[in-house]
Amino acid sequence: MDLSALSDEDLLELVAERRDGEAFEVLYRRYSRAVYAVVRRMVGDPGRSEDVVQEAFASVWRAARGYRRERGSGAGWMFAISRNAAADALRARTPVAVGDLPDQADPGLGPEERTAAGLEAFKVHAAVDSLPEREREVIELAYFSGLSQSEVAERLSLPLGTVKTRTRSGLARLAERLADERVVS
Amino acid sequence: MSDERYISEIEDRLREAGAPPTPPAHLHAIARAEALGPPDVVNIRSVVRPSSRVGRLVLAAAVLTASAAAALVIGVGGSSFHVDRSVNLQGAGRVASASAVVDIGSSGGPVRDVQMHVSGLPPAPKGGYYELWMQDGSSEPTGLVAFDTSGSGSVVANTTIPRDMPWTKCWVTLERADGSRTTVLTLA
Repeated sequence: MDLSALSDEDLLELVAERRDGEAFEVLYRRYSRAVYAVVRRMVGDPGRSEDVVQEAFASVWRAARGYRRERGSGAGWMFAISRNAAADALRARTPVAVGDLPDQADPGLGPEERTAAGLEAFKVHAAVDSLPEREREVIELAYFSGLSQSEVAERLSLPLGTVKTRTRSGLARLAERLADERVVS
Repeated sequence: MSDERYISEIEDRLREAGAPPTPPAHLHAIARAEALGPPDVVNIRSVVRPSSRVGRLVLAAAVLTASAAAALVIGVGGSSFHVDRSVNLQGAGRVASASAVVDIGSSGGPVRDVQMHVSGLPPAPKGGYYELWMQDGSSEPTGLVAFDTSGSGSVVANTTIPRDMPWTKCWVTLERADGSRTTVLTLA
């Protein structure tokens, strides 16, 4: 059975009910970059981030039984696990400082907006990593590295038409996936 | 919403999300071991190198315990380990007579088992330990497993690597309590 075709929710149930190591592997492949990105953004230090990612995936394995699909998507649950692991690491490291409060409010995003933006990026990254390899590589080069389709074709030694086809099918697959996750409506 | 507008929105979301950082290759095996349990009793989490002297002493003690347990388990247990490739390492400097064979297992999934047989390598100084490394030409070195040897200078250490992990170099270092490091085994 090809587990990579299963939804996050199905994989989490396999982990919870059967302690299925292969389901865990698929979740890792699908979410490792998204989790690492969230953790790096919150924790900063690369070495410390590796420890937190380890802990986050260990939490996925331990806590999968607590996941309930009726309460929300698997991606949202994975995001919460990642943020909690990073927050725990930060709490353990950083003493609470009360002496140097800022004079002015931070003009940037507030905590809730930052969380929403982080969750959206998290879901996008996980959705990209769930794409077939041939679609993922053209999507990443075009939208993450900013290459034109001609440059993508040259980089991958592919005909331009193939790049356009793969891009289109990848975007359609992402649209379907992200609509499920309610990132786009 | 039209298909074109829908796709355009997806493109915007991709650009806004930006490229995620890529986690280091060794993290997969470590995260898997953290969740599912290590493939053997040698602690592969020991690639986390403590910066303090006390931390390194604690790690060295843990490595000693794990190495002793590993030797015991390997001595009495069977194994379904299938070797795909063997790499010979030879001692350098003061431990020129030491050697090791690193057996890389066949791929039975997303990871490969790695088993290293060390001989003629004296136990690490107090607070220190040995560490096996691999590196691809263009990447950061990956610490695979920390270990120590018995009084006879031998040990068998087990770990895993991602199935497709690229590497061109393989070596063993002595990691001392003061944070200094010396290469003791290199490719023969």
